[in-house]
Amino acid sequence: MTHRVSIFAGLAIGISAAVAIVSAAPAPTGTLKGRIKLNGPDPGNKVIRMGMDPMCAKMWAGKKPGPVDEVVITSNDGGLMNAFVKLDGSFPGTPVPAQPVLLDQKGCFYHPRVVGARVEQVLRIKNGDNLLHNVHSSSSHRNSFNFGQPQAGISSDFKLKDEEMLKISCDVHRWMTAWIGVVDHPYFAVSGADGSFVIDNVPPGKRTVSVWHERFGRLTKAVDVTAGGATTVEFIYPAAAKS
Amino acid sequence: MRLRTFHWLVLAGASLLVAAACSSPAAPPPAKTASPFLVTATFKDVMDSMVDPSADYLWESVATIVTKAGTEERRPRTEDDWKKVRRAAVTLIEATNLLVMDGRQVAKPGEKSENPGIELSPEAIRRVMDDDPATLITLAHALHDAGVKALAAIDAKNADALSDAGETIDNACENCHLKYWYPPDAVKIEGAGSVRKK
Repeated sequence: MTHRVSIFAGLAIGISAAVAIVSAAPAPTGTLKGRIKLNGPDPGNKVIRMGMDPMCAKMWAGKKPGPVDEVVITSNDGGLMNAFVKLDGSFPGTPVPAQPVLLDQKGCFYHPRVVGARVEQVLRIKNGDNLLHNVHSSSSHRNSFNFGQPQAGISSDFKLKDEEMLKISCDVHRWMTAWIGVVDHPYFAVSGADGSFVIDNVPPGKRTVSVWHERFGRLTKAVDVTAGGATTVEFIYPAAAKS
Repeated sequence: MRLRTFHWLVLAGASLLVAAACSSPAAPPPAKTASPFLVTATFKDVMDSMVDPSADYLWESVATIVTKAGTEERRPRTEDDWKKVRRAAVTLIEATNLLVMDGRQVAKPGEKSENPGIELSPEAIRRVMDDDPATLITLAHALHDAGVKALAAIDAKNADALSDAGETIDNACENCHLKYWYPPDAVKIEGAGSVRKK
């Protein structure tokens, strides 16, 4: 009798453990990948005249074609770099990375020009130039800041608070621009040099994916992300006028 | 003799004048004549309608564009191009006089800063201006002179000099913005930030 009770107890524990293991297994997810393209010829970018700050100009002296304002960068087949891609809508909460997102200032430019970050993630802005930069965000939400970094080696942290495409600029050097895509979930990416992007671990289902580019604006598409599969999407911006 | 008499008369007259000046109360200041200017637009309006568009036009008129196909130099080429860019320079130059004109409001009553905390409110801008009116004039004159430099380049049809003048204009603009538009303590982060040194 005692032995039979022990067997039942053991079975019950085993089944509970198995159920617990099954419920702890991660939900199946899918991958969203694709490309951003620009139709038509490359509109080009302006060379920046840095004469208003001789220290910036000196860093570029003798370099051809000089400091270019890289607003539109395309590959030979029209792939568009620096487009910010994200899923629209709300998702179950996921931990915010403890690592800050880095934005450097080098050669009187921001690096990278476009980057994604989570709400509540720290944006760390570093001055890699030994001269005065002013870091000024243009927020329509609660991501406003404006501070000076007078010398190389200074870094400043700001915890991002709200979703938006946050523009960062320098009041001293009018041409300096960076964009932070602040999102409250982890399903975002920035297109690479060939215009491609990949977003992993996407919860399956019908989703809306949007892409934003600083010159060409926003496009959206509906996609169906399948568990364990890869969904492909392509965005094409219409031809652009010369810069 | 006649001359000596004349000297005495002049001396006596002068003494009388001095005595009168010392004994009588100070003469009232000359009445302020009404300004002939009919000031309508706000500071913000002048910036938005005249300074910004004309400076942008000058900056955009000379550029080097890099494409995969090569490099293209954009610059005024035709008489019409130069005429248009000249209009922008003249507008910019004379707009600087409007900026220092007495009685001009910073913004419409009740108008708020578009980025509170990051950009000063119209009331705060007014206070900075009123605290130090001489600096406003100095900075407006700097923009004026930068515009004159651009005008000279345009009259000489010298695109490179116009580009250089564009940088001087840029500098003049930003010096003024740093003084009047952005908070003076813009070295600290608003909100949950920290600043660290290496």
